[in-house]
Amino acid sequence: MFDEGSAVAMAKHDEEFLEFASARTQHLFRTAYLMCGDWHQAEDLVQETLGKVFAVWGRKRRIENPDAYAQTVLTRTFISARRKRSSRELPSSSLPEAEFHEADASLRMTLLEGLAALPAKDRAVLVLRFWEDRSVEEVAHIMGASSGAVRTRTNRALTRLRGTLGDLLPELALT
Amino acid sequence: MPDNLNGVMRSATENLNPNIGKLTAGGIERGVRKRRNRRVAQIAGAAASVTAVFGVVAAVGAPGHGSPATIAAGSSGTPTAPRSTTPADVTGPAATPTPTTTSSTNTPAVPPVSGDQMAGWLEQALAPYHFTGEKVLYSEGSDGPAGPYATLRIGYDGQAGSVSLNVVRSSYQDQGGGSLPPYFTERTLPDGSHLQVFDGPEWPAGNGDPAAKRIDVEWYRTDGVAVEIQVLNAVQEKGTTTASKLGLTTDQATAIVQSAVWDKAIEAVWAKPLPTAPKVPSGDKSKLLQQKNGGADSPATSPASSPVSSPAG
Repeated sequence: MFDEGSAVAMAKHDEEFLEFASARTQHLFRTAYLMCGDWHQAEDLVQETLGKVFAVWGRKRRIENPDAYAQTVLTRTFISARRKRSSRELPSSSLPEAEFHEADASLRMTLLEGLAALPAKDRAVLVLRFWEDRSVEEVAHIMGASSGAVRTRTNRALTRLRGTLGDLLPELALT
Repeated sequence: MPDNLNGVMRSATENLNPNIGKLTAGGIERGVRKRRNRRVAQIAGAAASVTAVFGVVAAVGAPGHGSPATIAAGSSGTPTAPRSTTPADVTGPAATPTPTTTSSTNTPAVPPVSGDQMAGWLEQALAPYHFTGEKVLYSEGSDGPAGPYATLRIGYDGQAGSVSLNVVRSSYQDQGGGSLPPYFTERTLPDGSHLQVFDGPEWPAGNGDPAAKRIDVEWYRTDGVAVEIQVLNAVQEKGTTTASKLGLTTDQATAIVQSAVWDKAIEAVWAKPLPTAPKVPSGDKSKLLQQKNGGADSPATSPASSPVSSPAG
């Protein structure tokens, strides 16, 4: 039995998803890149995220805020993947083929090295707090943690990052 | 060159231009596969349920297997009273208990702890310090995604602050020795557990009040569970002022995380399954994120397209 109404609705949902993905993929990729520190792993993470969002797109219970939902899926997928032993190999040291300004190259490399040295959850919390510009409470919701835990983790991650970036960033300098 | 972490992160990603078409196509392909798998699983689940129902009906309805409709052999056709059907009575293969079932029933389940219990235990642990006006701000049991934890408002010397305590599964990680700031210390205890103590400014880890101070004490036990306490001289409520000092010292906070009052919460954390994929957000939490995004589902909320700002809350 072919339900023409359902097919039309599904096509509309797919079109909406395409629109959403086209607009958000670049941002999701940049977040994923900071978390993974590797171009190919970031691509894989973004595709997995989009796949999970697509799978629930158009259900009866609509996603109220697709941006926030995708962000949550991405973060939790990243943390979950890192928990698995199979994905614990060190990321490649080669940087993606992109046009970088020479002046910022060393800072970027140092940042990625510093982030790579952190546990996955610490990395995720810094990316969400400082790149995504989320509040403590929002990060707590995304990561499924309490506000206190997010503050503690942020604090711990910053303490470690100071060792790498403290000389370059006055904000993180040891005082 | 940027001089803060926000700026460095933006600088590090501003020239990253992935192939959006390829990623979207790959995402859709995976999504279609997930949808298909979900449908197959639903159909298989429904088929299994139907099979199980028929199996149970067949087993129960078989002669001599304790069906209420069983007619006693040799009787004159008068229905007898239904025979009680205990597991021992059922002898058919379909009803044979598996070793797994037997062993699982012998294992005592660890009861979850509630948010109220966490708040009560935190009040109990704080009792020796005689705070006034204690009020539970937040709490969650071990069944919640962020739990178990509790946050209390505390009053002292006419001022107010807050104390949060979390019990989490978390392994100790060495913080890197020589590069630690002076307000961060760590030490290994005789039993092999580790204690990390932060006693310094709230910024930049918090939401941005420059006068806020904090004490964090994290006790990493040898069993992979950490008990963390956070003491703030702010209440985390809008409209409240930051107190001039903290409500507890680091020694007092250390004594609290090592208190035996958390034993049940620690057991519950061990029994708690690891988190999986998020549910579709709805209600207030989704709205919270929506507000932060500018109040719309608009995709144009990328920090890359918005002015760089500090994470003020």
